[in-house]
Amino acid sequence: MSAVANATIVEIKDLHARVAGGAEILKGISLTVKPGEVHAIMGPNGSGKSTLSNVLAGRTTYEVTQGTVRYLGEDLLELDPEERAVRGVFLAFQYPVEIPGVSNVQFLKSAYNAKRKHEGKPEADAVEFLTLVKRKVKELGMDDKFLSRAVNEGFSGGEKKRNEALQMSLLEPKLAILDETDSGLDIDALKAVAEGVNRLRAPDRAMIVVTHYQRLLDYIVPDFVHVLAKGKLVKSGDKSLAMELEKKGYAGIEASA
Amino acid sequence: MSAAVADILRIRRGDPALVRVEPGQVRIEIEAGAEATVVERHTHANEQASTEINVARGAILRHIVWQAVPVDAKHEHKVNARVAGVLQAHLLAFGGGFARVDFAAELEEHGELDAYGLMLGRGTQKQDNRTVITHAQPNSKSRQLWKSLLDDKATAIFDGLIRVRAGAMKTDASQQNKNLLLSKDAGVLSKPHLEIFADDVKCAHGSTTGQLSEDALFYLRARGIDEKTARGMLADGFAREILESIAAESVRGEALAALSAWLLGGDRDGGVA
Repeated sequence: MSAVANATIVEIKDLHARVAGGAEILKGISLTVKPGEVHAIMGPNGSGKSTLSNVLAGRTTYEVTQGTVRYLGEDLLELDPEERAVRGVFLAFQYPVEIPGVSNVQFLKSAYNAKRKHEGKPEADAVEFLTLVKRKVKELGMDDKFLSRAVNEGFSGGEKKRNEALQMSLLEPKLAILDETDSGLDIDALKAVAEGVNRLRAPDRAMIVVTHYQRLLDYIVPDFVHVLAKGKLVKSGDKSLAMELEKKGYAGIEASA
Repeated sequence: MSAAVADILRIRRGDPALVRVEPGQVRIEIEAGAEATVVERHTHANEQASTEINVARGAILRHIVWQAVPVDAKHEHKVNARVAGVLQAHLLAFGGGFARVDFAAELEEHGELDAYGLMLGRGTQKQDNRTVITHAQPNSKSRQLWKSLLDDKATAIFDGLIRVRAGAMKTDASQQNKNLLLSKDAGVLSKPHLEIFADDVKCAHGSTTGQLSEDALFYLRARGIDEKTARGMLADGFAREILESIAAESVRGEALAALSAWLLGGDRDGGVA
């Protein structure tokens, strides 16, 4: 195996976190994710799924009270959100934010060039960037009109999630965290977004797919499934665990864990 | 072409579409069938600047006041318009230590007004914009969209009065004021008023004041955009709506560039322009 394949992308140890000043939500999460792996984290509402996603992306409304997160050899928790992003951490938002007055293409270009800059590469000029982004837009079955509209403004649920997939495809992250990507999607949109995500599965890239329902995992098939309950990973297994959850429900798993 | 102080600028059908006038005591008359953009760029402080506007029925005037006087100066400008045709007004208040604009428009039958204001302030700048829109006759229409973008200890006043005179039925008036405060020490006073003396009218007004959205900021940062740039993008996104509504492409481009420069200005001199 190559050095890359042996390396660890992210190593979470005994992570505790809370909403700043509030009660503890994550109560000791440990998880190691290696290149090429797709980990699903499943859990009922209130189990801490979104907290975990947001803590990894660096949202400051959450406070880490204990534990460590190593990302490609660095202390992830010491980095600002933008520093994490340019190093290849990507959070696909459960609720992508609408930003009036900022065009999608300008936003995408700024994001793309921030990463190029971090990598010591020259920034893409307007023509170069447009060529690239239009190709990506086409791959995702989107319309060019997406680019001139304001970021997510007035987008349907499906369009917002496709826009997340577009950003992911453009930024080529090392660690993609998909926070309830299936929420608010009909089956066609879900398939389209899942296809976009699957196209990005690569030996040097890892994904953490956070979801309430097994449905998404029919399309993005994980290597590992973990059950998150009350702030802890209570059970881990392969994709058959997702099926078991579907049958028994979270209550059944929690009881047997 | 340029009009000297106290000259009357008369615009007839077939005249140049874009006219720049020297501010001072300006008088603009636009005749039926004519359509033009008139730009007044205020770069010198004046406590008695005035503009009289008369838009005849069947005329379309786009009037842009771009105030960029030194940030330690006092500047006052009174605009009075009679509108029987269509007036689109832009009042861009970018400079001045204390800068006040009194914009009054009286709408005659079928007169239409689209008025846009953008007040920028940082340091200790004080912007003060007051509008009085009088619907004097039936079937007239007015739209106002006023924004302010304030940093440091800058303050702004938006005081907007819509008056509907007795007999001015079918008046359709709206007024929106939106303010974005980039610092905790910045402040805005938003005072909408309505005086309605006619029946069968539509009048709507609203006012919002807020700070940059933390959700939007995190979204941009989570894509690798540093915090300072992200704040600039959001502030630009808030303000540019006003400038994008300028029809004359060259002026729109200049104004958007001035906004970008203003947003970067906080970087160059630590927030005090």
